[in-house]
Amino acid sequence: MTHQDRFEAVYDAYYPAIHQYAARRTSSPDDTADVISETFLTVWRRIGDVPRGEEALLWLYGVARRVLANQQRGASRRAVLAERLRAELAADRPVRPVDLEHVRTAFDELPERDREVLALACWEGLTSERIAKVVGCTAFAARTRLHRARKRLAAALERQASLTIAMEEA
Amino acid sequence: MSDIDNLVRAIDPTPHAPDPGPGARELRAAIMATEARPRRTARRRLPRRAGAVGLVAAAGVAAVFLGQVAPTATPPPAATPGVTSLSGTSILLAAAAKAEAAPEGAYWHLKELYAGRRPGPYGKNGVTYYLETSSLSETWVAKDGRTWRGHRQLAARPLDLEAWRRDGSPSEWSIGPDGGVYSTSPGESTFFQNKRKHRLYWSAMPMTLKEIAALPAGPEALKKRALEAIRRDNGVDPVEEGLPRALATLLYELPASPQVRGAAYQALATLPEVQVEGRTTDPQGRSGVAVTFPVQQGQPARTRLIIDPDTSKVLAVDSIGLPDRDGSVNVVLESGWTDTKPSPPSAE
Repeated sequence: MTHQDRFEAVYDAYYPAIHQYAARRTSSPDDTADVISETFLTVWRRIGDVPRGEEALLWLYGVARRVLANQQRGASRRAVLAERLRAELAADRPVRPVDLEHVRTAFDELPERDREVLALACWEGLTSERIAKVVGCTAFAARTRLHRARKRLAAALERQASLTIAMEEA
Repeated sequence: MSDIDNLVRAIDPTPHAPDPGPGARELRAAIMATEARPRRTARRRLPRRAGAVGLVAAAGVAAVFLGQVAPTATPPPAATPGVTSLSGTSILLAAAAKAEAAPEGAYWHLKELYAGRRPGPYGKNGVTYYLETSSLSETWVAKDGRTWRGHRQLAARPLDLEAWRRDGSPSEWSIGPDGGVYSTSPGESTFFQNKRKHRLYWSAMPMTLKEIAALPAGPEALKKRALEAIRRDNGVDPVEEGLPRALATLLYELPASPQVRGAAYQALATLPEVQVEGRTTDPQGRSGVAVTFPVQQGQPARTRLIIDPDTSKVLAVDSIGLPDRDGSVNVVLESGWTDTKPSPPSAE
């Protein structure tokens, strides 16, 4: 298998997952398209380093994660590579469920470290062992972070609920 | 899974796995047209990577539609020397005149067919062959800015029928570890009206339909505007390199007025790097003239448009001068203004 074939296979297999990963963590379709294109550009340049099997996806999540952390808008030619993709994404932007706005608010107010592990566990459906591979920590640390994140979100939701009740009673 | 996890899952803003569309496929081609490795790591790996794709370094704007040629498919028909006595410039100017006379209508309609060889090979027990897959993609833009999209995966086609029969004539092939199959039957068609007004991109410039309609109808003014649009992307250098591609998108991809399309042809006629290479046929067997321009200055790969000079329509877009790869081609089935209402794509 040549590098080109391997890249095409990796791209076709994991495009939906990376697209979704990027879309969940960016606020505009332009940003989503840029994260997708930057991630796969990195994959293309490092195609020889991409692990085999399902490890590949975790490796790709790790790349996408670093791309997100370093994202600089409009500063790259990737924006042009993804031209048509951006137009498509702008057309198909999904809407957030309105009735869960309070959960979203509580989630958004969590520290970034908490949000990251919770999102990987719930949105990407990763176990703490796999989360550890994506974020580059030990499985034990990932498990601990996940546990703490769940507790903090639960506490935030409880605070919200008691605040609402207090306001209703007032 | 805890209740908290269920709540977090419920606020996931993207509940459905996206189906890669034409944009995703173009991105893949564009990425593969860039240098495979940055120079600093390339040195270390050179022995293993020597002779690999890095032919088209950092292709930038024009990289869209970069494809390669299937091993079993015929190579893209080489443009034969012009049988017409018209010079390249006059062919483009003749097309410009036709473009200006093209009809207006209630909807801009773009219908494209993408075809290309999938990585593979497929088969078992020593029998191997490649698959060609194709899909239809349609876009409509109404004068008020409403847009519709249609998509349909068409039947996959084994490129070596004899080998496919020896493989037991399978009708489906697994795509990869994430599931999904290529099938010898066409997929369902998807068709929807976009909820929000669609933003259109001209090179790196987001534009409204009104702004596209208001583009200058003179070639020099249009070139100036094109350079401004390309300049929005800081990475493209020099910006002039993106000019042929930006002008070409006005010929078939964007809802430009007949006057602007005419001006785009005239502007292309002024560029020395744009060559009219003579008569050829597109993958549908339609006759046209090949117009090419470099993907990047100083590189052998060229983007090729096949245009019908009698109607000014772009028939197909592909790339030539690349190492043999998967023969991707973008066939333009419809591109222009129409009064026919948007409807779901039918299988060819």
